[in-house]
Formats: sequence, structure tokens, C-alpha cells
Amino acid sequence: MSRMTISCALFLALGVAAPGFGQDIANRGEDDFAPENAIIDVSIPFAIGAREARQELRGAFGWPTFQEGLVEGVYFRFDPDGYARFAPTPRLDTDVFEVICRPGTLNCMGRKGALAVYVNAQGALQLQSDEAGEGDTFFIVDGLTEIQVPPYILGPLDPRLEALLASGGELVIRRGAAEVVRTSLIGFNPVAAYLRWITSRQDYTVLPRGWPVPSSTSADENTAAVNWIITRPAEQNQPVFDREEAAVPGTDVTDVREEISALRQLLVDRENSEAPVVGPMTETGATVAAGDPAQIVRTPLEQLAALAAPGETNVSAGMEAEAPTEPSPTRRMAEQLEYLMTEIGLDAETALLLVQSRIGREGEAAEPQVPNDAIANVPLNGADGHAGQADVVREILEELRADLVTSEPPAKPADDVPAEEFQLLTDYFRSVSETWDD
Amino acid sequence: MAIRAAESKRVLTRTGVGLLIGSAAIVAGVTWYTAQAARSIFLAHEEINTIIAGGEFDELPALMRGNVPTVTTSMVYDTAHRDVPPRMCEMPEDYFDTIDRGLDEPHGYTKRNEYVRKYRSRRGFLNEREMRAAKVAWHYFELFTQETTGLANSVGNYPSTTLWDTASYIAGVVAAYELCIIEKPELDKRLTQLLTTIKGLELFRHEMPNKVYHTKTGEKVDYTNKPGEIGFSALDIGRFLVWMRIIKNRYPHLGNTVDSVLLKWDFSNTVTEDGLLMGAYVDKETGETVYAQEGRLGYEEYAAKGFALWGFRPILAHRAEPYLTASIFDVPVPYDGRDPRVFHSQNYVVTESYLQDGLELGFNLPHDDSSPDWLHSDGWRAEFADRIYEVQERRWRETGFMTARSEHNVKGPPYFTYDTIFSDGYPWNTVTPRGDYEPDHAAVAAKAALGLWALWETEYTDVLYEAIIELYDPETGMYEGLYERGQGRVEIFTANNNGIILTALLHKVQGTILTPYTGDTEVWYTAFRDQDIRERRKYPDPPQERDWLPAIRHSLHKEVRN
Repeated sequence: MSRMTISCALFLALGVAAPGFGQDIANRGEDDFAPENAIIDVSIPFAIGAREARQELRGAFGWPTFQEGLVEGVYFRFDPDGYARFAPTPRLDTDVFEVICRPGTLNCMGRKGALAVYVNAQGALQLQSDEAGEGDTFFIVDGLTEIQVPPYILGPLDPRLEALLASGGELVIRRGAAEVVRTSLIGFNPVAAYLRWITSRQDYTVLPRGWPVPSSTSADENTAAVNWIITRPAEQNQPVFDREEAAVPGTDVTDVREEISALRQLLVDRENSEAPVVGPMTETGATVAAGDPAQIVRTPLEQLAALAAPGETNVSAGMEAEAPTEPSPTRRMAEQLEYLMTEIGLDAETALLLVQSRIGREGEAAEPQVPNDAIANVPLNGADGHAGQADVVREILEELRADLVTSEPPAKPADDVPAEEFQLLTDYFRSVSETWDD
Repeated sequence: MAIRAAESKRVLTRTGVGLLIGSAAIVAGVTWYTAQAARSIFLAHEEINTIIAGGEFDELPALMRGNVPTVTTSMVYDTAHRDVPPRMCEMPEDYFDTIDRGLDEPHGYTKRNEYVRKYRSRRGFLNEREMRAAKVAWHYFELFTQETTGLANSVGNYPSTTLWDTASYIAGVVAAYELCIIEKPELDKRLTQLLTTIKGLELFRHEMPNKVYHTKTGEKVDYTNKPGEIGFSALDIGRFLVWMRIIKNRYPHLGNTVDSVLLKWDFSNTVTEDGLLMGAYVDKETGETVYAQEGRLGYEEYAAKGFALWGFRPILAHRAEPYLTASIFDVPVPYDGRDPRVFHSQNYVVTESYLQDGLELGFNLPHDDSSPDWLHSDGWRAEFADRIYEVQERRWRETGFMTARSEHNVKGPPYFTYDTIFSDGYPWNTVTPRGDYEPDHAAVAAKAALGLWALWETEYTDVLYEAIIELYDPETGMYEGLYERGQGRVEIFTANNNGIILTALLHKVQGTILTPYTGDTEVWYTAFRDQDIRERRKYPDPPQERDWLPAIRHSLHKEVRN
């Protein structure tokens, strides 16, 4: 779709989202290049290796320079008015995420096909889809596995959903059995980071953990790793989520540890409860009641339990039914979970999904005849094929539960955490992969 | 005895007197002869000291004073220079029956590396449809010329312009006059006001015209049309120089005004000793002026010829090298060989610069004022232009896409696209100024379509003509083009598009737009001889034969003519 077409659609959409937006768009013209519409200094690199370049202008107006670069395998270019394109190819011609901003404001929106993402008035990332309707179901597909996500994905995103979307794959919307639309999520994470970066007026601290940010203190030393400022999003400009359940603590190490402790406590509380819980990822697409943080943090565990006990909706029963049978791999999985949440800073759901994804791949490697769809529809279809997988998940849950009783509370890190303590996510995955391959 | 002795004494006395007188006479004669000889010698020496400036022995000093004529082909080859065609409304009905179109001449290179193209240009009176298109195109300039400055807006009612687009406006004025849409009072009024304004423009750092000016105020502005300065474009200036020469040659009464405009400029950093064209921009960090080579194959040579028309010698800029070819539909399409990754400048292959060379300069070298319209003294330019035409026709024949590609404006972001035949390693690449691939902006550019139609009389350009000739808003002007993927018209109106369309229509009537210079000495070459300004600003002397840009060939075509 051309920039022009997208722009029109985009601004119409933004016009709905922000009062007066559409009206502004109708008046767009060559005046868009007025200095007051420049919201970005393109000489400040968005990521390491990005550079300011001159536009090949022949006419009388336009932006004289732009910025181009490559981050997380995605090429990007953006103008001083915030207009940007992100794509996996250097021509920026396929699978393009496009960002356009209301002239002279920080109100920007990324769009790919029917999918739109923007930072809402409360500072939270929010998703929209032109194709979604009442009762549609949503899935994230990574080629091998398929995970159903709650319908409130079309709304302000909590960090876990955002991390899930950032992990790549495709977002699929289904209406009944029919697929309505499928949108690649390649570039979602850079676009999300870019939108936040704009909103925060190019503050590096809002960028994701591990983002290859050049030093903002020395323009001349922008490639030396020792000078990188490894940012922690929780430090400042933390987006304010308008959903109570999304207002989880930040991703500082301290917060992560507190988060996992709370998660474990909630898990215990939930297990002590007799009331059945309808998870947010049920086939009917029932949503979780807003304002119930316990429900939110239980969600991944319920999903996990659903995998462990096919056909059941009462997670507790499944979780309590089995004991670990293979301590060694289970312990390893638990360690991975622990590491993902405490050291890397992922939320529980994302960490579980990553581990689950690995388990799923191993399971499929053992039984390649199982269709991918079965993974997402475990409660109905995945009983036989994923029995071993379910066992492993139960073991993980048991491990977690046991840890609540036996393990020492995690040591509180020093307030001033050195940069060396952090590790790039890609490096970690590489090490994990090597470990498993061994 | 005594009588005899006295008589003898008298004889002796007479003889002595006679001898004395004779001796005195001889001495006087010798003296006179010697004096005459000496006088003749001294007088001869005085004649050497009184060599008349510009005379037989005074070639160099006369050149230094600029009052020798520019040497052209008509002088060197002792042939008649081309005629200045009459205005359309003054042409006799049988005018086109008498012109030499060289229809029987085989195509190829001559020994002088001139080139005869495979196709001929269209010639004839404008029909009703073409005349309507011309009037509509002119209407753009009626609407968007600022009364305060005489400058015309580049794009619709947005009050800014460049020298490139100002040249397009001048093209519009000249075409409107020659096609009898306007009369001489309006021609004079518009051009005089415009040139006066341009003469008074504040230059970029007292050097050359800024890239962009505000059309209402005449202030130099930046790309956001706010007061400021950007630098200067050698390509824009080159095109402007082409049209300054066209005006001066066609309308000698405006010659002094034209000269006075150019004599305000400082060319010292624009054409290098090696003959490269240099643009300028401001370093963002230091604020200093940065001079950088400007132009790629196509535009660079066209602009170089603009400078050469005023005596400069941009010899490297006029050369095609380094160039490469890309085979597209079996046509070796030439493109600039300078790697964009190294030089940070794209090598767009579009139709426009070839059209302008063909329409305005007849694919001729700047010193050529005598070759017929069908013979092109800048041979390789004409041959390359043939390839640019052929590859577009073949695309149409093999894919069905009507193709007439150029840079053009679009409505809304990104406002401008390079709709190329080849760029960045890809054929038919449509990209934004920052390099994003935008295939939806591919279009049949109206100016390119009618330019091809004017210069190549073929079945294919008939199709282009039908697509474009009524592509106008009678209240505003000719539309920019027709989207290739069926999104309709490119609903934007520009000076460049309307100016080039008028040029194409004028070419049908008059042939090559540049006419020979018919005067002798030019103020451009004689001014400031009493100061060091000429030296400081690098104003050139009238070009002689040794200063001509060389005629080159880049292919293995056989020679067909002597």
C-alpha cells in the first residue's frame, strides 16, 4: 500500500482516536515541512549504526535529512516529522510497518495492513485492527506453534502482551473457523520502541532492555560497547497504563523479583481457592474482568495448566494431579524460567511462553505428524500428542510451587546495578540454544 | 699673353666654383639620403609601437577585453547558422513543407561523432487539442505568478521556487509568446520583472543563488520556506543558464538585462579547474559551506552544457564516464557508474534530462549553431536518449504498461518521487528522495509523455499523446501525470510540468528551442575588465575553437556520413 493511501487511512484512524486529528489531516500540504512539524532530531541515532543522511531533494520543499539504520533485523528510515518505515529488507518494500504522525505533535501511529499501534493518551501502547469484529479470536502464530491471545489485545497492551507481540510471528484474527486477517509482527518491537522514543522526546531510557543504544553522552563514541548506556525502562518515562491489571511493577531487577514473588503468592492463593476460573484464553474468547490483577497473572499459568490437562478448564485440578517424574529436565526448565524472569526481566507469561515454545518444538520433533493447530487447541485436540509436554509443564509448576516454600527470597540487588549485569536477550537465547543443543 | 693668362685664370676660377658647388650638392644629397633612410627606419619602429587593439597583431589582448566573438561551428566550418524560426502565427502556411527533416538520412554516427537518430521529431502546426493544452498549461503560470516579484510558484499555490523551476517558468513564457498565446508587451513585462527580481535576490553567502526562494517576498529560504539558506544547486543553475542563453539569443533587447543578472554571481566555486560542477550546502555542525560534486549521468551533462553556453568549460561534467549499462528488455540503458554507497548520491535514470537536452539544445554541443535539427553534434547524448526512449516503448509492448518515466511531484507525502527507469540496481524503481520504494507512485509523467511525443514520432508516442493531451484542469493547468496502477490522475500542478509541456509543444512548431546568437560582443564577456572581479569570480572569456567541448561517441555504430 502506498504511503499516500496508508497515510489517509492512518489519519482517519487517528482522527477517531484523537479528536481533531482528522481535521488536521484534511489540511495537510507542503506546509508539513514547516519547522514546527519537526518533532525529531534525526541526528540523534535511534540505534547503534543509524546515521543521518541527506535527502535527494530536487524540488523546493521537503525534509533535508533523514535517519536510516538497522535494528533487530529490521531496516528503518524516518523523517524529522516522525514519518518512518520499518521493514526486513533494505528497500523497505515488503512487510512494511509504517509510522506517521499528526503534524507538529507527538501523536504517532504505526500501521501494517489492518493492524495499527500507537501510544495512547495514558502512555500505553495500544493496538487496533480494522478487520476485527465482535467475537473474533486472536492468535499469535510463529510458524510452528499457535497461541491464542485474549481479545483485549485490541486495547492498551500490558507488558506481557507487548512482549509476546514483540517476539515476532504473525497475528491472526479468526471469525469462527475462518481466518479474517493475518498480519506479520516483524518490526513490531522496533516500531513500539520508536513510538515510545518519539513520545518521550527521544529519551533512550524508554527503549527496551538490550536495545543497542549509542551513548547519548558522547557523540563521538557511538559504537564502543563499553560506552553504551544500557537502559532500564522502569527508570523514567514509564508508560502509564490505563488498565489496572496492566499496572504491574516495572522491569527493574528489584521489581522483577517482587513480581515473581507476587506471582508465586498469587499462584498459591489461587490453588487454595475452590472457585473455578475461566481463563482469558478460552475458546469462547471470554475476556478477563478488568481490574483483576490476580486474574492477569494467573493467565499464563492457566494456559500452562490447560496444556497439562487437556479438556479441562479448571486449572487447579490439573495442576495438583501430577508430580514431577523427570527431575533433571524439569529442573532445567524451572531454572530457565527463573532466569528469564529474574535475570532477563521477562514477565511470567512471556517466560512461560518461551519455554513452552521450546517444549512444543521438542514435542513436535518427537511427533511431527501433529498439526500445528493442535497446539493452540490443546484442550480439545492435543491430548494424546502432548501428554509428555503436559507432564513437563506440570513439573514446572510443581517446581515453582515448591520453590515458594523452600527457596530463600532472592537477594535484593544493589540499587545501582552495573551495566555488566545485563545481557542482551539475543545473547541469552543463543546460550540457551547451545545448552539445549548439547 | 696677359689676356690669355687672365682668361685661363677665369676658367680655373669657374671650374673651382663649379666643383665646389658640385661637392656641396653631393654632400647635401648624401645628407638628405641618409636622413631619409634614417627617417624611414625610425618611422618603421613607430608603426610597431602603435598596434591597434583587436587588430591583426593583437589577438590575445583583444580576447582579454572580451570583445572578440564566440567561435561557433558556423564560423569555423564557414556555413550558415540556423535560422531563427518565426512565431507560429507568423509562419506561412507552407512553412513545414520547406524544412529539412533529413528523412532519408540513415541513423548512426558521423566522422565528427555527430549522430542521426532512428526517429525524427514531430514538426507542424499545433492542432486544436494541442493548442488547448498549451493554453491550459500557460494558465498555470497566469495563476501562480506572484505580482510582487514576478516569480512563479513551483507547486500550485505554495509560494516557493528554485532556479530549475524558474527556468521552467521562463520556458512557459517563451513558448506562450512563440505560440502566440501572449504578445510582446506581456513577454517583456514578465521577463523584465522576473530578471530584475533575480538580479536583486540575496545570494547564498554572496556567491550564487540560494537553492530556494520565497516567491512572494523574494527572500532566500530553506526547505521549509522559512527565511534561511540551504546552499546552491549547480544543476538548477545549469538549467537556468540554458534558458538565459535562449532568452538572450532570441530576444537581443533583453540581452543586457540577462547579462546583468549573471554578472552578480560568483562562479569561483561552481566549476572546478577539472571541469566538474559543484553544488554547495551548509555543514550542520560547523555552519560552514561545503562544496560537493553535483549531478549524475543525464542531468549532469545537461547542466554542463548550460554552463558551456556562457563560456565555461565543464569538460568532465560533460563526459558520460564513469557510466555502466543495465540491460532492460535487451536495451543497454546507461546509468551513472558512481557507487551510491560510496558517493551517497543516487544514480536515477529518468527521461527528463534527455528530453530537455533534445527539446532545448537539440542534442547539440554548445558551440554548434549550424547543424540541422536531425543531426546532433553531441552525438552520444542523442544516442543515449534513443535508448531511453526504446526501453520505455519496449516495456509498453512487452508488459502493456504505458511508460514515460520521470521525477515528479505527488499529492501528499512524500510529495516528490523519482519514478525511474533504473536506479539503485533495480529497473522501474520508484523511490522517494530518501530511497523508500514506492511502486504505487509509478506514473506516466505528463511532461515525459509529451516530451517523448515531440522528439520521437512513433506509434507508441501517439498512445502517450492520447493519454495525456486532455489530462488537465482547465481552471488550473496540466496534471502531473497518470498513475500507472490505475489510481487516476496525479492531481497536482507544477511549474516544471507545465513548462516542459509548453516546451514540447513549441518544439513541434519551431524545432530546437535554442537559436544562434546573432550579435557580436557581449557585456557578459566585456564587463569588469577594469577590475579584478572577472578573475575573482572566474568569469570566462569568449570561447574559441580550442575551448569547445569534445564530441564523443560511446558505441560501435558505423559511420554513415562525412
